[in-house]
Amino acid sequence: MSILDEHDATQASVESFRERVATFLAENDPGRGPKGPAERLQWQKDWAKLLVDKGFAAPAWPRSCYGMELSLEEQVVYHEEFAKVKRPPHPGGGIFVVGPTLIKHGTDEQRQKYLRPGLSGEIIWAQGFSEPGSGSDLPSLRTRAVRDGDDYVVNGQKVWITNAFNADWLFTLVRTGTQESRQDGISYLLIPLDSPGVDVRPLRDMTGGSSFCEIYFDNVRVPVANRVGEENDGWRIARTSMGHERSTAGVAQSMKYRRIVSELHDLAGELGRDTDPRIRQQLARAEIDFQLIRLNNMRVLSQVLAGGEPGPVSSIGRLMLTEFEKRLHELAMEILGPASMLAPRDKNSIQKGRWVRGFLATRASTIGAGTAEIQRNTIAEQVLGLPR
Amino acid sequence: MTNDESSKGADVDFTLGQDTVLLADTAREIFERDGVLRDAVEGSGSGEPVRSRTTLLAEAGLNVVLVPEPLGVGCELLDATVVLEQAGRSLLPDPLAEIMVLAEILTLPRAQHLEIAESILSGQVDVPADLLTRPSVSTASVEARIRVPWVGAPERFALLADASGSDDGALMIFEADGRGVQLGELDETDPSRPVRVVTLDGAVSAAMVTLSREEVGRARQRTAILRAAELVGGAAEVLEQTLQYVRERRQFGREIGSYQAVKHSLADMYASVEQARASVQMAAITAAARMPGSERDSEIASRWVAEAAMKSAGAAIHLHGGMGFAWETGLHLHLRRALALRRIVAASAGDGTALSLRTDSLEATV
Repeated sequence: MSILDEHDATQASVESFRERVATFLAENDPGRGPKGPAERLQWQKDWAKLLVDKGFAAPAWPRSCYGMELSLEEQVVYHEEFAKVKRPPHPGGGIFVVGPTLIKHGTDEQRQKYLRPGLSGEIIWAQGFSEPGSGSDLPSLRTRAVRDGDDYVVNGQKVWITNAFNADWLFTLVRTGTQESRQDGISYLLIPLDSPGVDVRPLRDMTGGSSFCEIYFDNVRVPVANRVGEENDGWRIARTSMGHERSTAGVAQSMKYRRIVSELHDLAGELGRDTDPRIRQQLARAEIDFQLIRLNNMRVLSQVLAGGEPGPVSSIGRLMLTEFEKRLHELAMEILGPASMLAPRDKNSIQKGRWVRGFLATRASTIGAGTAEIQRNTIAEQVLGLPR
Repeated sequence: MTNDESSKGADVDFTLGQDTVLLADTAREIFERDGVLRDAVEGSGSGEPVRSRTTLLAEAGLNVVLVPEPLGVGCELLDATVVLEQAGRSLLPDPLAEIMVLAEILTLPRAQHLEIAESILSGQVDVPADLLTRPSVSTASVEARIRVPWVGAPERFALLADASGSDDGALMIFEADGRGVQLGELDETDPSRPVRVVTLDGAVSAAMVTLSREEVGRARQRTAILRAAELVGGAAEVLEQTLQYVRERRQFGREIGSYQAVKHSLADMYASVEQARASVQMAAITAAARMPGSERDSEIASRWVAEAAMKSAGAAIHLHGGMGFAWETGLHLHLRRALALRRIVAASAGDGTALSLRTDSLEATV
């Protein structure tokens, strides 16, 4: 069943598109993939390249930019079909953030140079915005880019950069104006990470892994041609997205969480915990929470498919989801009982420790990409109009 | 209000004596000077073996806090909880709760025949103990699977056997490489306190102290209360670290501690820590005085503290932002410790919840 059935927006052409996607996915299944990190990365790159070569990458991007230029309904179908199967994740997801900025605000030369290799995984992109002194208050960032001939000379530090260790290029926000001018003194700059003066250091996170890095810039020379948009206009163009990607991708998100909630339910059954009334209450709560997220996604999508804007109610999505996934993993710890004490790599771990790992990892859900407090402030001030 | 609740107000004194406060401060200084917390943060998960502090504890007399004078310090259980808080603050690897309760048993007159008692009490040897699990054992030949904290390189370990029928209970000490004893690796979420799973099949104890049913129950109860106290310490520590952080961290031109949401969160954390402390202290007082309702007080403390400790650590991580998620900040170690203890402490409270794992090689039923 598709989310579109409930919108009564199905058309023959949309359904035949669905068949095309389903067939493509059925005919192209790279399987479970190798275990070794280098081999796995290559496996992910191979899949990303295949999507581009076969014309199944970037559903919302213009065809002139190697995307599929799908209608909104078709984008929903695309996400639904992809969410039904398991395929290698993109090796450099940053391209989906920098890509739209390049499409809307970049030069032809920049689009030529960066879009296709980024989509195909030949170039891996990472996002470098946060700094030690500028997290929630990003406009206060201090990494400075000083003009010197045809280059900028960059000095400073970025932190919490996901996947920087594997990355080839960084898209970043740097200060080109005065500190006092805050977001009006920020430029958008593309930096190759093999430049002299760039020092990428992995950070150990509380799960024990190194999912992110810090980067030090010591007199790094970056061509002015690598700036996207005008000088000091970086803040405005950094938040570009294509069409209504968040709304249409919400479908995939709903399906992903449907699967996770069901898997937790199954786990409770397997461990004989689903007869415990307290666990049952919490499982019911989890199901309700998931449905509310799904229904809210659908409401937002309705508005967008009808030709409108997502509207204020779309701002609650991320807050609800991040708090939900934390709670869900806390419930998982309850359900696991004594097995929640086991480190994921212990041989007695249940389901290879995925829930313990998930519990630890989701402690960051309400921190990264906008803390819960900032999100509540945004709702309070921008949606509800309350005074700052 | 039940009878025992109405009488409690007059009988229960929460005031901590000067000596107790001094003892706790001393313990805290000792742990700080020895870099216990620093070692836990830097060492945990590094692959380096966790260094035991048994000698340090014995030199400071912290292992014999509960033992009557002249052999020990002669403190009440309430005083011991305050010392355990300091151990929890610094993530002391050694299971001080078990160490203290073990020392109490070993200094009973009837334990005087044990040659090993003196070496244990002086800190020369480590004998880690599982005093919480209820294995089904007969004192003659033991069959059980237990989970023992394993810091340093102990050559022996101990467990409590329940009284059964006309048979007494006992504290039993086993050789780690003795007949019928098998040590298994166990990787737990809390890297600051390594554990082993020990399987006993027809094992015979190397030494034994007979205990009545009541004495076994009391040893378990006291251990659970002290373990809960350790968690209170951890929660107090993360609160203190967070208070410091939100005063130093500035965003949007202000200390983040000046924002209302942050203040409210910290106020809640404070309330949680104090309530947890109250529940543990109450449990310690009523357990020591063998008041009616002390079992209930222990259960309240055990259950409430473990949940409160997890919530506090989680809130502390959140309020530290990205830094909270970094390994080196160390807050997650308190979360991991709370996670691990939650299971043991809740299970030992004796509500009949089965503590069973559906795996081939790990099984312990309470």
